[in-house]
This record gives sequence, structure tokens and C-alpha cells, in this order.
Amino acid sequence: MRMRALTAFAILLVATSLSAAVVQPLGAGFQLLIPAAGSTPGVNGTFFRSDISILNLGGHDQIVQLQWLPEPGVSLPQPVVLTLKQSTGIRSADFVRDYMNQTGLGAILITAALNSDGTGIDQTGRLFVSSRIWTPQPGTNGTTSQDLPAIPASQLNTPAAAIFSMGGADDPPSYRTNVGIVNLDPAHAQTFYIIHFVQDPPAPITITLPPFSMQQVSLGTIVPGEQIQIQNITQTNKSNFWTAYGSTINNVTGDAWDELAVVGTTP
Amino acid sequence: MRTLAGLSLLLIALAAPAAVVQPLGTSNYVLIPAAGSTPGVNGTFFRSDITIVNLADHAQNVEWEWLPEPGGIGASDGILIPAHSGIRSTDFVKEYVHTTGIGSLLVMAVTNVGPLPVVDPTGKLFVASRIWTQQPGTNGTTSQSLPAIPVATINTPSAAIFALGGADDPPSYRVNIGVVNLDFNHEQTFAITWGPPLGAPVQTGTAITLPPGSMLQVPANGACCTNPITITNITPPATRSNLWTAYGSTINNVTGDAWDEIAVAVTSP
Repeated sequence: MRMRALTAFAILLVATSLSAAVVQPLGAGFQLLIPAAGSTPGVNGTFFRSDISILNLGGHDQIVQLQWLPEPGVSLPQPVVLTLKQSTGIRSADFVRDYMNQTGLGAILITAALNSDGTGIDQTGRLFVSSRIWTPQPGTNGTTSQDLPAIPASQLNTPAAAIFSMGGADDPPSYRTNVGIVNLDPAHAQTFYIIHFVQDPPAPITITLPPFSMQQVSLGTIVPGEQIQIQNITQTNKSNFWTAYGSTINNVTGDAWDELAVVGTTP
Repeated sequence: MRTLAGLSLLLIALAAPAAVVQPLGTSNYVLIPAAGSTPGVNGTFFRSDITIVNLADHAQNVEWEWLPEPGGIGASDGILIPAHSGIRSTDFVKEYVHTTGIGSLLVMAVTNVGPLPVVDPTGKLFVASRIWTQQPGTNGTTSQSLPAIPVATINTPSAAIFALGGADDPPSYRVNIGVVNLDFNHEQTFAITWGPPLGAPVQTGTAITLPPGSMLQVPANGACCTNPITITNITPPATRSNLWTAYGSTINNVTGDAWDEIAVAVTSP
């Protein structure tokens, strides 16, 4: 076991960004993003599902719109609309299949709606949302999972972002890291650089996300603590309405954790 | 699996769990609700993988303070972190706090080092934390990550937690509730209640008393799904404080797969 894995590491100053390990619990919101959800087979007999709870903590019945944001290449589906009675909720261990009628990997935008067709935003809505992605662990009767916070979509304003503390410090080669980006711009595709700076020179991964979509890409094994930076390099119709996350997974057990990237400064 | 299609929620102590969070990035004074360096059952050994990064443009004195379980001994230490650099340890409690067991950790940017540190208003600390162990019988690990909460945002008259327990197979999971008393002058007593009947008034619950500046984790056997777990501060009004927080943790009995949820309060019971 390697202790004090990194006792003093330099932090790149470009786009000095703020990762989301420091968070303020809010409890509820009227429009919330789950950055990653799924109902999809993985490798070695795994099958990843999303265990999602949505509770209406408002003082009235609430119309709720659920919009699935798929990966590129998958058509944007019609949103799901449902009504939650006051102080009631729903929970499913395979929410993407059971409620979204989808498969694969994506993000979910959950909106307290004004109208019965799911349109409009009810800013008096108070939705509690919790989410984790889980799978049976092959060879056992147990599970492995990682939980993901729900974040208020109205707060997103991301010129650039970065992620710290990914990678497994105890045994780096035993872990892989993924980065996911969600484009919440409803009208314009956005193009991003993903850079991790241990590479010299940095070799950015470039991805383009259609409107209302998400994509997760593999960085493989990274050096624990290295900064992962995400830059929006869109030339026209550039939007700050996006977010990103990092996820580190143990290759043996599927043990995983994630970190939200939030706004930094423009590089 | 639509495990629960429509459920009543307890309205008393209608609290808002922290599955909904506002990413802040940094703070000058944060609480890690649970950390440890302690053996578990079946060959496990739980450690805290903690990262502290100074994102300020100046070198930063950083101090941390260990809040032990009742009967434990507190500890504190600190370090100077240069601008735009940081520290990370996979066994932070042993290596940097120089203690063992389970507890909470306060991490603060300070203007001076010593017994009465003053929080540095210009401090910008990024803090990440997870508790992990080797998974017995494998070469891998299991873990759960815990957010760092700005101390200035903690103001809890009462609290509740939803969405604990394993919806896929409830008997395969156990649930623990942790409460942290950040009042350094007065002990606080809390009543923890979970389970049915839904919609019924909150019952008295299991009472726990925490000395000043301490934490305690207790099992909540049978808690599951979206039945709220309520935590009520029943300390006599003269010494009752809102400077406390709580969390819930669900653990798979087979693999150690685990996740947590921070509880925060919005209304008094």
C-alpha cells in the first residue's frame, strides 16, 4: 500500500477550476441534472442500472418532466411527463428502463413543470433527487455502485472546468478513469477538449456533442492527482450551458467514485 | 423494478437530503463528516483517501482537527501548502492526523498556527474524501466517497434522510447513521427514528448523546428505500445548538459496496 501517494503536486494554473468535492447540500430544486444514468450491459457480466429516487417536497402536486439526454448518434426522445402528488415520490432500481423507457448511457434533466404537457418551468417546485449507478458484482451475490449528485441546472455556467483527485492513489494501474460531458444547450452542438496534463505535450481528446446530449470517454489509467481539464473550443454559438464529471473505477471489483467539475476561469 | 411507485412522506421535520447539491469548488473551512483508519470485519481495514489542494494564489497554512467518537481523544495538526499545490494520502488519518478509529475531520485555512487558529477568509481549499478498504478475497478495493461541507453552511434544527437502503434487494444491505456535533461547548442529544409507519408523527426514536466536538455512527437496521430517517435534536433548549449535521450510509453485506447521503434541515419538527 502506498501511503502519502502525492505529498506535494503542482496544480496547473490554466483554467484554475474548482472541483465539486466541496458542495453545499441544497435538498431540493426545480430543475435538476443527473449527469450520468444508464441501463446497459458492461464487460465481464456486469449490467449497469440507475437507482433513482424523485420526491416531491413541494407544497402541491407537481408535474414533472423527465428528459433523456442520449449519447451522440441516438435520437433525442420525447420527454416523459408524470405527476407526483404532494409529499410523495418514486424510486426504481432500474429507473432508465422503467421510467425513461430507454437503454444505454445518458443524462437526465428533471424539471418541475408548469403545464400538463410538461412544458414550462415551475420555479416553486421542490424536487429531491438521488441517484446511483449500480451493477451486480460478477461472481458474488452483491453489488458495486457509485452515487452521483443531482445539480441545479439553472446554476450551470461553465466556461472551462477541471477535475482533481481522480485515479487510485493506492495502486494506480488498478484503476481506470472516465470523463463525461453533458451539453445542455438545446440548440447548438458544442466541441470540447479533454486534457490531462501529465502527458507532455498534452494530447487533447476532442469530442463534439449534439444539442441535449452527453458522452463519456475513457482516459485509461491516469496519474493520481493530475488535473483533468475540459475546455469548450466551440467556434460559433459557444455556450456555457454544460458540465462534466470524472469517474474512477477499480478494475478488479468495480469500486468507483466520481467528482463533478465546475466552473473555473477561461483559459 | 418500480420498487415504489407512490409513497407517502413524513412531513414532520421535512428535511432535505443532500443528494441535491450545489458544487462550490472550494471553501476556507470544511467538514468531512466521516473519516477513519480502523479495522472492520472479515479482514477489511478502512482508510480515508483525502486530497487537500490550495487553489489560492498564496501559500496557505492549513490545520485539521479530529472529532472523535464519544470517549475518544481529539487530535490536530497542520501543514503549510504552497500556492497551487496540494497533498493526498490514502491513509490520511494515520499519516497526517496521527490517530486511528473513526471520526470527523475539520479542515481549515488559517492565518496563524497554534491552539487558537483563525480561519483565513482568503483561503481556497479544495478537499476530496473517500473511505476505502481492500475487498477481502480480491486484489481490488471497495469505497464510498463523502463530500466536504462548508462549516459556514451548517445550521440544522432537524434533519432527515431519504433513499437509503438497497432498493434492489433490501435484506442484502445495512444502514448506518452518523451524527456530528460541531458545538464545542455543549453536548447534544439526538433522537433517530426510521421506518414505518409512513405519514405518522415522528416517534421518540433512539437517543444518542454526543460530547462537544464529537461524532457517532450507529446502525439503523431495517431502514430502507424512501422511508425517511429523521434526526431530531432533543437537547434542552438552554444548550441546544443547530451546529450539527448527519449522514446516512448504506453498505452491501456481500461486497461492501456503499454510498452515503448528507442530511440537512429546513424546518423544525
